[in-house]
Amino acid sequence: MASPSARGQRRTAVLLLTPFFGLFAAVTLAPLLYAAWLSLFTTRTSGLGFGGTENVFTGLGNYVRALSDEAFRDGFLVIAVYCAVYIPLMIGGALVLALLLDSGLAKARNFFQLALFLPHAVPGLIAALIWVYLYTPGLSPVIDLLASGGLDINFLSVDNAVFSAANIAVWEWTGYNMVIFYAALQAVPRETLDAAKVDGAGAVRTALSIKVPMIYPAVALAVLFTVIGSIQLFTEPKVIYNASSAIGSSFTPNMYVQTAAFQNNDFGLAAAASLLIALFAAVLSFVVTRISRRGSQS
Amino acid sequence: MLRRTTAALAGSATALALLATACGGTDQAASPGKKTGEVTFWSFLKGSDKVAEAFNRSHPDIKVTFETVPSGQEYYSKLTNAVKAGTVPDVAVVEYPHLPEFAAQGKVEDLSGTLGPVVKEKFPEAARQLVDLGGRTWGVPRDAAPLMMMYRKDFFTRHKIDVPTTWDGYRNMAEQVKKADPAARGGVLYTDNPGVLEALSWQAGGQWFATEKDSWKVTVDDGPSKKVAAYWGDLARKDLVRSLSQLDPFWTSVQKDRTVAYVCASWCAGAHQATVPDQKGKWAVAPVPTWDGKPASGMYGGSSFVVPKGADNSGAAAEFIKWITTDPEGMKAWVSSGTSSMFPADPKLVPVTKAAFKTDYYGGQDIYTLMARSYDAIRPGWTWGPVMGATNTALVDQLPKVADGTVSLPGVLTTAERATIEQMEQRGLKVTAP
Repeated sequence: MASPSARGQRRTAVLLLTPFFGLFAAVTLAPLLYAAWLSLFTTRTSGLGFGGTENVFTGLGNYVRALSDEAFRDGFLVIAVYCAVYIPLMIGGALVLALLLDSGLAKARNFFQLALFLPHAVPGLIAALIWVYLYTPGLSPVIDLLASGGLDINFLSVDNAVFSAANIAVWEWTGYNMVIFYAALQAVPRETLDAAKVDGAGAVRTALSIKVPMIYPAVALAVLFTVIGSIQLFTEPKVIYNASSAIGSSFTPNMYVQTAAFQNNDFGLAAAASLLIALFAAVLSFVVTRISRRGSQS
Repeated sequence: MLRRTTAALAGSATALALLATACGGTDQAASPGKKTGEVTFWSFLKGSDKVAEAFNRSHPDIKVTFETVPSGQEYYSKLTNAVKAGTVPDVAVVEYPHLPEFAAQGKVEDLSGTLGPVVKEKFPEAARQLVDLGGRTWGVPRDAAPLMMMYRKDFFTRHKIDVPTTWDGYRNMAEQVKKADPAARGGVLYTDNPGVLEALSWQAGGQWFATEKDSWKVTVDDGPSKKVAAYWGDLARKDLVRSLSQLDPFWTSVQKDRTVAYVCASWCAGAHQATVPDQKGKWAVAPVPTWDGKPASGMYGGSSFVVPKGADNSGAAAEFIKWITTDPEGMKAWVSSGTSSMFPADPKLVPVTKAAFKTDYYGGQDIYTLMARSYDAIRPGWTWGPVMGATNTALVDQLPKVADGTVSLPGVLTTAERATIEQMEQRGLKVTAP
């Protein structure tokens, strides 16, 4: 027997939670279920194909096809290379910049905070377009400048494309994460820092031994978000793909899905591959969370 | 400003002329089963708005609403999704290479009964073979795109280079060009568009797809195509032609005098002068070189019109398609801007487009006669494949790696053939082993 006040409380809870669960069901669960449903079917035709098509059930056939497709698996390798370059550079850069801003050395703090954050205010697509312009031989002033200095470099070659994509992301996200780290640094108790100073720690020692460990949760969270974002890598390579064809149509897993769905009209395969990517992202974020939790406990 | 006024005047003059024909025309009223109502029309082709306008003026019983759409792969995705969602237009443009795929996925209506006879009567084999598949008619051709060669007349004259007529001659030309100016090249291998390579395979007698009874024969790497691929792969690796993306980098190279010749099609004459207007008088058009010196050609581009599956008003749609592809007034509306060098698939309409396109840019050269010869020389027997999207993707994914020798161009054809067959089998199409 719930007391009237408890019942009222429950009613309030239901009332407040309904919008969330309603939206969650409509925009997350329903599409997921629909994708799962689509992934079990494939479109078949026969003979020359001019007699029309029909949808047939294939069970896990589409999943097997995605996993056994080298192009799909290679996409994950590309992501691995991309992460190996991008995450240390971007997180490291953001951390160093945040520590510099937080140190007593920084002048015009607000200005730099804003200036460094500014690239993130540029929409990803626009950023990619600007960079592709800078990467395109014959158009780019940067390439002309480097060439006049005797350095002949093709940013859009088959080998360099993944680094060029990573560079765009570094430019875009370093400032954003720096702001987060800087905010976390503001929460480091001043008395701790004062104590370190009294104990004779210099600025660098304080940064490495006090500040970094204290904002570790923020850094771990940033890494988690970055990893998930990287698996979904799409905009930058897609724009490069359209501009130069230095990279293939299935360069990243998400591009593979898009090609399957909208180039080959293979919605079953696209749905299966999407769910595999989602599963992979879920597993990876679990792993990253585990590792970072262990890191913060040690 | 002056130009705009003249254009407007010319426009109203055409309008008056059309109005006159509309008033005097009796044959629509007399035709049985009169088609009426509203027609929506999707197209990315230049002049589509003018065509819709002109049709509306001369056909008071049908109202065509033109909706402009993006060109390229996005458009075909959009059209596919529209068929799935049941929100299709009544008439849509589909380029020849994509037509079999649309037909094989049941996304376009079989026009054999309505427009089949028109296609049979008006168009030569070269165009008909692209829209008649499996014994049925799926689309109506608008323009043909016979191959041509564009070259810098001034550069060739200055360095005493002959215009090549054979592919051996073309290689010599490319060598001479590079020798004359180390920054200049006599050709291009597009890294993002397999269209020219396909047209040249067609020209050489290649036949990537064929239908035999109820199965497809796929031979992307047949002998003639491999010969073409080996030739172009070699030119690219020896840096006698540049490997460039078709968009900005290619046009930049033209602008900067770094590309002084390239293989293209009839429509390129108009596109070229619009893109590099300041090189007026420097360019000329020549017949595309051939392997044995005898005329032979293929098509790079070209469009047809279809009635998508689920269209509301296919009767009036057929009427509209017939008018914009075979009626002189319809053709006149397409090229009313005066800047399109489109070559009509219906040879009787050539005088209409010829009269509209000013060739001052090419020093008054009679390019339509060259195009007509190229059109006559198109090799019979070419059919586009039923999974052309996948075929082209497989090609484009490899093309950028040809120049540095990572892959060989004939090898790229083999890879594309494998990807094509795989995709066809996945869809349940019957494929006989090559």
